[in-house]
Amino acid sequence: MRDQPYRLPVGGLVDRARPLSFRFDGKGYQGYAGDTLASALLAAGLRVVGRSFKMHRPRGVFSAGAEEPNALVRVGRGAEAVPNLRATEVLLTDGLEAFSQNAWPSLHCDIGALKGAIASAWGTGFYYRPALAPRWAWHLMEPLLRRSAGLGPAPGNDAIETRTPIHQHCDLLVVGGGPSGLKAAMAGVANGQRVLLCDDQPRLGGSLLWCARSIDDLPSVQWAETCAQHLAASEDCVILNGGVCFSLGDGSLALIEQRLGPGRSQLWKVRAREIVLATGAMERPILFPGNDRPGIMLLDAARRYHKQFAVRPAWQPVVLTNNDSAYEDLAGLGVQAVLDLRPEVAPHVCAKLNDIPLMTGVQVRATEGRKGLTAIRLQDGERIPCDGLYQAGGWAPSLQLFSQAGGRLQFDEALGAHLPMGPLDSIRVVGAARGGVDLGGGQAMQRQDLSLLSNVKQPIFIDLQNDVTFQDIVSARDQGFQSIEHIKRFTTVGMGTDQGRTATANLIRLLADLQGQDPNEIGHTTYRAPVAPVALSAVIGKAAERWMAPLRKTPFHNASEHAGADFVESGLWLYPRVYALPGESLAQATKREVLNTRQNVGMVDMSSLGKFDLRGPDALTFLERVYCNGLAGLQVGRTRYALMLREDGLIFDDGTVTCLAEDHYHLTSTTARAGEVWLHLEALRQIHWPDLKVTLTDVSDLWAALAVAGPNSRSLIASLAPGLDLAQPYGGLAIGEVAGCPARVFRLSYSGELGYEVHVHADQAEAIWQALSQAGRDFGLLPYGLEALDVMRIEKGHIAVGTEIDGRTTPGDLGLGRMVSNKKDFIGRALLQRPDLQATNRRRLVGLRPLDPNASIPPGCLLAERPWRGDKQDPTGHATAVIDSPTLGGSLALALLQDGHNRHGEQLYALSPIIGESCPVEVTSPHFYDPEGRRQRD
Amino acid sequence: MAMLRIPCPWCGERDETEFTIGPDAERSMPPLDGASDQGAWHAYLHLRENKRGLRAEYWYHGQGCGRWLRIVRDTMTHKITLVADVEEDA
Repeated sequence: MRDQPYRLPVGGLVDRARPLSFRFDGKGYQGYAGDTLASALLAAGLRVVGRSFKMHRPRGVFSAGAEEPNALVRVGRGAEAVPNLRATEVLLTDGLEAFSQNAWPSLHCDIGALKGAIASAWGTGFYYRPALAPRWAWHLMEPLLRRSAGLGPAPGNDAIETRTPIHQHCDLLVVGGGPSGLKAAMAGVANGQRVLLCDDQPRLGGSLLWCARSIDDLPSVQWAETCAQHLAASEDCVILNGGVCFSLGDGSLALIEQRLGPGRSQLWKVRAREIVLATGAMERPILFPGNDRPGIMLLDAARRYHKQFAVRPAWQPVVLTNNDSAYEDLAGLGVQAVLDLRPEVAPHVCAKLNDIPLMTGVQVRATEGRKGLTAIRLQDGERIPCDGLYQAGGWAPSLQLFSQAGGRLQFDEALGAHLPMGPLDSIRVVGAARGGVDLGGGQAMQRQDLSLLSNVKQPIFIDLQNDVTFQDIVSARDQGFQSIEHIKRFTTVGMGTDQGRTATANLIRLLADLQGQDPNEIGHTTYRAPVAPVALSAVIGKAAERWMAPLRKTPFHNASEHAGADFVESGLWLYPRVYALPGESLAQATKREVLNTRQNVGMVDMSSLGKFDLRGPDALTFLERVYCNGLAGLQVGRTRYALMLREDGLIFDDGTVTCLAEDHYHLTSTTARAGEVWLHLEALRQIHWPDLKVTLTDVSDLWAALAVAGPNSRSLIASLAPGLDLAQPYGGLAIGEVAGCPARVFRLSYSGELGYEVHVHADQAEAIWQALSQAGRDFGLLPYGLEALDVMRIEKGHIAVGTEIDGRTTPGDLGLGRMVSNKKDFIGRALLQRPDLQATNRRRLVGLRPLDPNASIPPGCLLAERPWRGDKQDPTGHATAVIDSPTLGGSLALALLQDGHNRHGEQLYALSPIIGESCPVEVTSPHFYDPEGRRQRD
Repeated sequence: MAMLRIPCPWCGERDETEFTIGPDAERSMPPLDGASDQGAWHAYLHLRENKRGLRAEYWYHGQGCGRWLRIVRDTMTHKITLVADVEEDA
């Protein structure tokens, strides 16, 4: 345990009664409750706390807030570690363990620092260079670049504690708990508004906690405390401490990450009638050679460490400034001299210095100290020994959120930074963010003389985190980059976790001066969400892995599970894939299920189909317009296969239409398209054809459906429903009871066998399953899953969504051209007539069989005239579905082949360039099994 | 992330996530009278103005009333200036 050499004996807002132990890079230190990791590291006298990203230069704490570019740390160990946290934002807790980043093997002896020496390899735009190098060079560069490109490693899942986002509505959202934010929140509460106050610090007050002013005759800290207590006591005010508002979007949705600790955060989605942005202003650095040595920091940060944390970051610091704000609140900082860029300073300003010596018209030409500042050298050669340099280069209002919400910014010459232009609808900017408080005697600000920055030996860093220098910006300009957006991307300026907070204002000023332009012509880079680094786990919340989307289970789920189903996710559905016996493989089980269905009887869950109830006097007119095939002749009690086209003439979906009464129809869609079909039908009914008298009801979830198929299916159902007429022809419908359950029994078949679809009310699913299973023992009934369903439809040459209905095929392509009615108009008719959709050389549905019955057609194969020899040839078709057929033996496939319907009997090659194989195949009809359909119809 | 709030005439002001955006409401579907030709359908389906400013569009309130709504939205600001049930509007 070490003591705290830089901690002052008294003062500050830390709780000296509660000392905390922590470890940094394996060594033990001590701080107090109320410290941040940064203040505790400074108290311990640690000057080097990290290495820079690109050049691995030693760096120290630079700021005291979210703008921190240097002090990035990893908190925690192993898979629990959370990387890239700003030490200035990490609250000290007892036992905290933190590590520096970008340093290997150690902070003080870093091999990567050698890279800094090989400057040519890491010049401007370094990560674009390999793209221009010879191709082989990329393989050498890639591992090096990848390692350099990342910051800390991502944490393991165990480190992440997810929470469900909280939705909050309020009259007034105040972002920022400094003086202006507190005033706005107090006023809101006084006006009877419901207020949400969000502040990124653990304690309200903002700059009040470290400035020495008084408000309403109270010292600032007490005033802040009084406000905080008042607001906390109000029922109408919610205070989010540690809440970072990182996005403000359209419709005034504010996203706030409330930081509860490393790896723990809570997302708030806030809707407010009115938003007040009291986001404050940040101090800007001053550009000078060697401006990155540990010990160099922002003056306001030094004030904060001193007043709030009772830490002196340096014992003999100097202040470097260009404006009057630096002359405030210097007492106790131990400043040995104030260096002002301006040739003259007004006497009433100088008077504030008391005994501190002042030097005017100063330029810093160099700095010294390998692992921390030891001296600076001025333009006249004078050397000033010092262990700290506090810079005050003016202020930059924090307007990222305002800009994100659509607010426009204007560069203010006097301030040297952007100010908001005009108000937004429901968003106000107040306080320092509006330039509304005294930000240091604006007019007296001195601009930097760029000519003095040229021809210097040491680098001048504009963006400390990404190691982008003044020299890099000049170099980018020399290479033709002018737009600030291009310069940002080429040099990476402003692209770090700090989002270039300390870089942007200086960059704009610099570019304007370099190009002789008005800063408003330069503009600024786009401020996008997130404004501050946000844990992805906070944004995602619980919506990951199996919580990402709802998982739908059919009414037969429990029964299927009981029957030994292995489930598979298909879309949102959890669907029985196969009912494997112990020790059986997927293929073996599928084969058994198929053969049993073809020889005896099987049943399969069809409940996930879309089912829609259509009623009304104009129901038939509606159907005739929706489907491409004629339905006018459909009699009551009959079902017809029907095809729906998109407006552009391609196939949208297939399903069935059943006429229940003259003005009452039952429609089904595929499982995959059920949602889209419903939207389509409702759009047509409500928007396009409001004159048609029809109603449409989604009854998908009301009906549980089992397809019972196989030669024994009729006898099986008849044994449970003696009163039903099951001898009806294909497409018939019997309504009655099956095993005591009210049921609709459709005579339909997807498998190609004699089959019935039994639809019962969803709450009777369990009952019908049990009844069928029990009665089915005498008939050889076995349930079958998605695999067997698919195998049987492929053997039969039936089409499916996703494989044959792939968004590119017309009815004619799939051999269904004769279904398309020429007696009526329907959706898709006009554009189906387009010449390319009617062309004779389109790819058409065919079957494939290998010439060698023992060979396997490679899955996902292409069709070509020549075998695979590793060379290029234009394919003439592709397979859509490949199986080993249990019924017919051997491999078979459905395929789309150019002009295929005229090519049955031809020999082609099924190529798989991926596995480098080809298989000679014969083109056949796609209907492999029972092509006349006797089994399902007779 | 849902951004918009849509004042549904039936359900009140609701989050954008409850809705699905549908077809452009600036043009109407050609009638299915056997006479509408490829040109009319091509224009309806493929030609878009990509308007800057006010634009009429259809949104479906799938997690609410199940009605299609006609909404006028400013493509620059996303501000919604009119919401009506398609039937009221027709």
